[in-house]
Order: sequence, then C-alpha cells, then structure tokens
Amino acid sequence: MASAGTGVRDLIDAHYDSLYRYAYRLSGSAADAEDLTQEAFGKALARLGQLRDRDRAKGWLFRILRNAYLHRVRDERRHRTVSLDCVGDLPDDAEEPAPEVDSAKLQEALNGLDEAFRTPVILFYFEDFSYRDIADQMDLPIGTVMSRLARAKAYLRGRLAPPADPVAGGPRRATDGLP
Amino acid sequence: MDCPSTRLLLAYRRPGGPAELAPQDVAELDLHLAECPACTAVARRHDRFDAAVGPAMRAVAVPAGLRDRLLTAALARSGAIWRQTLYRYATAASILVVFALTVAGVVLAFRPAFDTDQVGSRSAMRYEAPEPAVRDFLVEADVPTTLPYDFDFALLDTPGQVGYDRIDGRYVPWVQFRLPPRPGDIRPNVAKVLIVRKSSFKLDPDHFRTTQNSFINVLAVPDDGRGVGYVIQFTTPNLEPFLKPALPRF
Repeated sequence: MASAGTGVRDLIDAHYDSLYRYAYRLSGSAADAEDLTQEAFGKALARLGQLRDRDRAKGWLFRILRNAYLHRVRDERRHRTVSLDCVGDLPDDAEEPAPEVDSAKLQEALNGLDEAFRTPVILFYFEDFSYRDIADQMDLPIGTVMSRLARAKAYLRGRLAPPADPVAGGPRRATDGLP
Repeated sequence: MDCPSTRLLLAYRRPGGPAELAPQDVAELDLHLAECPACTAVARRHDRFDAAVGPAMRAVAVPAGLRDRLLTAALARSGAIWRQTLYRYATAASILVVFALTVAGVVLAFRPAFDTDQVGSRSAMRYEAPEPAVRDFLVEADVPTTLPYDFDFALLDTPGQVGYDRIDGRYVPWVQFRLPPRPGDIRPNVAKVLIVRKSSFKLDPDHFRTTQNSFINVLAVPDDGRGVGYVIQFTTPNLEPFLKPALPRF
C-alpha cells in the first residue's frame, strides 16, 4: 500500500501538469481536462504493475489518457470535427508571415480537427515525443503519423495565419488555406 | 541533395526536438540549405511556424490545487483498490473453505457403515476355508494368487495369517504358516512368505542365508515373470514341513 501510494505520488508529481495540458488540448475544456487527468491517473494506479520501465511512464500515461478521451468521445459523440482525409498539404512555398499564435485561438482550431489529426499535432508540439513515440501511442505506422501531421499542420497554418486579403475576409472555415 | 528531397526531409526535421533524421541526412540537408535560398526560405517558414505554435500549444494554465486534488483522488482510489483486492482474496478463500467443508461433509456423510457381519464372515472364512481367504487377500494386494511353493494351507497361522509389513516406506504383503507345537519346542516354527513387487525392490536371486545371531533362514525367490519375487523366512532347517505332503505313490 505504501509503495503503491509512493508510486502514484511520484507519477503525479512528475507528470500531472503535462498530462493536464495534453488533456486540455485534446478536449478543449478545463473541466474535461481535469476529469480526464484524474481518470488517467486512476486507471494508471489500477495498472501500475504493468509499468515495468519508469522511464516510459509519460508515454504510458498519455496513452491511457488518450484512450480515456476516445472512450468518452465515442460515448458522447458530441464532437463535430473536420476530417482532413480529403485534403492535401499546404504548398511549402506559400508566402505567409510568421503567425502570432494565441492559445485560445489555437484551441479553437484544434477543436475543429478530427482526433486522428489532433492527437499527433498536439504530441508533436509537446516535443518530448518523437514520431516513433507518437506512432506507438496511436498504434499507427510512422508514415501515417507523418502524413496526418503534415495535413494537420497545414490546416493549422490556414486557421492561424492572419487573413491575407481583408476584402475577402470573414469567418474562416476549416478548409481555408487547404488546396 | 536536390530541392524535392530537401523539402521531404524538412518535414521530418525538428530543430530543438527529438532527432528524427540520420546524421548524414542532417549533414546533407544543412549543406543544401546553405546553397539554396528557396529551400532555406521554406525551412525558415517551417521553423517560424513551429516556433510560434509550440509554445502556444504548451501554454495551458494548470489549475491551482490540481496536484493535490489528483493526489487525494488517487490515494482514495488506491485504498479502494486495496480493499477490493482484499475482498477478492477473502471471497476466494471463503469459497475454497466452503468447498473444502462441503467435500469433507459429503465424504463423511457417504462413508460406508462398518459392516461387522462382513468382518465376522471373513474371520470365519479364514478358519473354514483358509486357502480361498488367502487368495482373496492376494487379489486385494494386487499380487499373483499362487505362492512359489506348494504350501500346506492347513498350517496357516490363524488368525494373523496374512498382513502387510512396512519396509523402507513400502507395504509388503505376507502370508504366514505355523507348524503345530510339539513337545519341547521353545518357540513355534513359522514360515513367513513376503511377496515383493519388482517395481519396489531389487531382489538378489537364489539368495539363501541364515540371519546372523538368529534362528531364521531367509530364502529369496526371484521374479518368476509375474512382476514379483518372494522372500521366505522360516525357522526350520528347510521348508519341507510347511509344504503339502507328497501324495503316496502306488
């Protein structure tokens, strides 16, 4: 009991903030993020014996959290997202200024992304995760992760870049900026 | 390296992040970027975008007190898991105990009543028909029903005529014959035939000796092909007094 308590305390101390941030970016809501983080730690505690290598705890926890999130989303079926299956990448040579990215605006853009694209792009910008880590967490080939990542980044560029032509401005759509 | 290959590798490059490219690819990429302004511009746009989005992605305010709330919930859950595990083990142990008690109860309830009539009839049979009684005993002991010599069953040492000796942890069945006492005998003369399973003991063939400091002779009869041998202890100079009298010749 003491060792389990110590183990979970160490896990929480080491990872609760990054796990919460990930949960927030996935769910788009502070309340959901806190619930998800708590659920992930609860599930991790029940399966603590499965964690043989403490160095892999972060990836393990992120995976648990994502599964918990997917479970909720499947139950609630409340997310209306844009699938990027039919769109390609932005051309690399498109002239665009460096965006000033607002965290809330970024979240809005992420909320519009299908989870299959949202997860890799979030994990990518958390930077600790390599493409291989992301592929492992999502049970996907690394090539698929790369492809989804490229599309998701192109989508984000389209959503986050300032409007080039004020005359043609107005509400931006999820597919804006995508060919 | 050409421009299309460079654009492809740029997608994999993560300045400041985990190394995704092989060192030689990084070297070739850097070499090309140093010479190609168009690719350099693309790389800069990539880097600027990532540099802007990365911090924004991580810029999520963690609620105050979250760590303590998580810890409290986790420790409460830890206690619940501990109790649940304990409950499971206790339930399993209880089921096992109930099962064991049930089995014991069934065994005790269905044990046969001691049949005193059968005991009486067996004893009577030993007196009245000793040879069939010995045969029944040998059948129960799962050994051949005939002995190596033609013993005279009228000499069976009633009532202790058959039984088991425990030798080196194994039960060895035996049949014992006794000569009628004669005037002047210090002790009764007996012949005890031990039936030795070949699977249990090695038996030296044709072993005949007199036990040291004793009046007992021991004769070993090796396996006769039926999986058993015999060890016969007897107190007479030879076995002849214990065998059936030869039929008179006409």
